[in-house]
Parts: sequence; C-alpha cells; structure tokens
Amino acid sequence: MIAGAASAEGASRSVFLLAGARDWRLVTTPYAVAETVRNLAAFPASVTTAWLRLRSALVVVDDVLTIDKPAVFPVEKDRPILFSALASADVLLTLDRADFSCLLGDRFYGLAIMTPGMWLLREREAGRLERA
Amino acid sequence: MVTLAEIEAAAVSLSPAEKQELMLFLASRLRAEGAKLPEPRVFSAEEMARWIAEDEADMRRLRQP
Repeated sequence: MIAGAASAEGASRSVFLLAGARDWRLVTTPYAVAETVRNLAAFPASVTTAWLRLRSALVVVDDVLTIDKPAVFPVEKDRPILFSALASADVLLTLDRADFSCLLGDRFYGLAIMTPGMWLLREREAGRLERA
Repeated sequence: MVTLAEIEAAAVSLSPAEKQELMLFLASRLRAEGAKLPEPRVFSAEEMARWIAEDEADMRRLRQP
C-alpha cells in the first residue's frame, strides 16, 4: 500500500488501478492501514493524497490477533498481516522481503504469498490480464 | 482428543460453516488470553525506497514486449 501510494509507476499502483475492472477484491486490515499511515509521514503530502484515493478501493476486515510468543510460523514481525490474510484472502501481496523472503512465491497453509509484480505476471500468464 | 494433531485431524471433518465457527471461537479465546496487536512498524526510508524501486522494476519488466 505504501509503494502503491508513493509511485504511480509500480506494480502496486497497477494492482489498485486494475482491480476495479476485474474480479479482484483488495482486502486490508486496520493494522496494515495504521502501518501505512504511520510510514507515509516520511513522504511528501502528495503521497498521502494518493493514498486517500487508493484507500477507497480497499475492503477493511478485522485484524486477527496473535500471541506474541515464538511459534512455528516463519514470519515473526509480520504475523498479524499473515494471520489476517490467512483468514480473509486468497493471496497476500507484499514487497516486504525482510519478513517474507522465505515465503515469497510460495504458499503458506494454502495462502499464496507474492509481490504485486508476481501477481500481475501470474494473471497475465493465465490469460486474465492483457500486456500493459 | 488432547493433542494438537488430534484436534486438527478432527477439525478437517467439520463443515465449512463449522470450521469458520471454530476459527471465531479460537479468535475469541486468543482475545480473552490477552493477545494483542503489536505497534505498527516504522520502516526506514531506505527500505521503503527499495520496495518502490523493486515494484517499479517489476512493472517495467511487465511492460516489455
């Protein structure tokens, strides 16, 4: 969401722009929204303006609470994002290679985890998305 | 039925509606046991710049003929 707001040239923004005309439901959680808003402070005001436009395309679902203790799950810091996606989404899109590097391009309990670029490529290869 | 493996095996046989009910039950138990969300993270400018650069590079690759 941060990249989508900060750059009009990235795959993240394209996911937002393309979702409306396709059968894509963009889902987020209050936790992820709070994280986005908190980090947008590092960008010019125009990025916040872009975010507010993109925000209207998102469906906000409940956060899934987790116990803050070591677990079998490989993603420690981003566990709220992962658990919420498991509960509500088919695909988790993230650019966070620091926390998701071991899962990007893979599946976690059936949940596909990929970058926005991977997602667009997958849709194109499946014939569901024309060349940009 | 006391082990996690046994409970998971039993849960597989539940209907989709029952699985959803079970998930909500577990979420309520987690809440009751004091589970909470961590503070939203603050990312470094370098990290976010790297994400944006990778995201733009992905889009350029997608646009290539």
